[in-house]
Amino acid sequence: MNAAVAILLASTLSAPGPGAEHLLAGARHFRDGRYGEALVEFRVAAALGEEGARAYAGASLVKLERFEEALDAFEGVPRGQDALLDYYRALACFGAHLYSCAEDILAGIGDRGGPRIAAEVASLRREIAAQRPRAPAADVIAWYTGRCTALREKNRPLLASAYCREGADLAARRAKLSGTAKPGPAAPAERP
Amino acid sequence: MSRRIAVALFAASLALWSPRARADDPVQEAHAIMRRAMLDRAMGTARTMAGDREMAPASAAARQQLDRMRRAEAERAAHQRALEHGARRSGAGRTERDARGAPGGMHGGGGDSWGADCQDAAGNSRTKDMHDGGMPGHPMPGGMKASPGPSGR
Repeated sequence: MNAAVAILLASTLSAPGPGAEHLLAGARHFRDGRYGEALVEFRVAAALGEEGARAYAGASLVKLERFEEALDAFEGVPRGQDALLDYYRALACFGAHLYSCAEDILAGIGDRGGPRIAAEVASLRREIAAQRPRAPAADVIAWYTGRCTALREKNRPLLASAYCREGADLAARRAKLSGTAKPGPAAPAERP
Repeated sequence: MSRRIAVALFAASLALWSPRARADDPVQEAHAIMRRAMLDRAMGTARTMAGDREMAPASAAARQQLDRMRRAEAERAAHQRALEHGARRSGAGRTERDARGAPGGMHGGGGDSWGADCQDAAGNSRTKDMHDGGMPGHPMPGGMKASPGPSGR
C-alpha cells in the first residue's frame, strides 16, 4: 500500500509541466534548423513557466540574427553556470556590436565548455580583435551613443546601458590614443 | 514498519529514476536535444557571422561615406563622358567608327545604341530613340513589333 502511494506521489512530482511539450517541440525545431518555429515554442514554454525556455529562446534569436532581442531574452538567465549558453550570449553581444560585453563573457567561459567550445571561444575572440576599432572614430562613438539613446526611448534600459558602456569604452580609448584626458560619456552600471 | 517505508522509498526512487521514466519526460528530452543541437550549431558561427557582416557599427557612417564616394565617382565619369562626347561632336577626337556610323556610334549607326544621349545640330538634347523614331519593345515604324509577344500566337 505504502509503495503504491509512493509511486503515485513520485509520478505526480515528476509529471511534466504544461510547457514541457512546447519546450520539446522547440528543441526539435531548433535541432532541425527551424529557428523561427523554435522561438515561438520556446516563448510559449517560457510563458507557461518552463525553466530554461527563455535561454533557449535567446539561442534561437542568435541563430535568427536578432541579436538585440537575444540579449533581451538572456536577461535574467544567470551567467557563469552554463558555458554553452554563455557562448550564445557572447555571440549575441558580438552580433550587436557590443564587443566589450562579448569579451567579458568569453573571458568568463574559460575551459568550462570543453574543447569544442574552447575552440569556438578562441575563434570568436580573434574575430572581436579583428573587428573592434583600434582607434575609434568620432562617428563610431556617436553611433553607440545614438543607439543608447534610441533604446532608452524604447524603454530597454539594460540594452541601452550596454551601448552606452561600449561607447564610453571607445571614447576613453580614443582619448587615450589622442593624448587627451577626456573620458567620454559616463556609462550606467547595469549589464546586458 | 521501517521495512515498509524502505520498500516504499525504493519503489519511489525507481519510478523517478528509471530510464523509461526519464525517456518519457519531455523536459529531459528537450534539454538533451538542445545540448546537442546548440553545441553542433555553435560550430563555426563566429566565423560565419564575421564573414556575413561588413564592419563595425561604424559601417553605417562608413557606408554613407562609401556611397558618397561612389556617387562622386559616377558624376565625375558622367562629366568626363559628356566632355568626350562634346569633343566628338565638334570634330576633335571623332573616331572613324563614329564617322562611318558603325553600330554603337551616336548617329546614323546600326541601331544598337538605344537611348544614348546626344545633341542635334541646334544643340537640343536628343536620344537615339528619338532619332530613329522608335523604342525598344514598342511598335516600330511600319507597324512591326520589336518582339512578338504572347499575343502573336
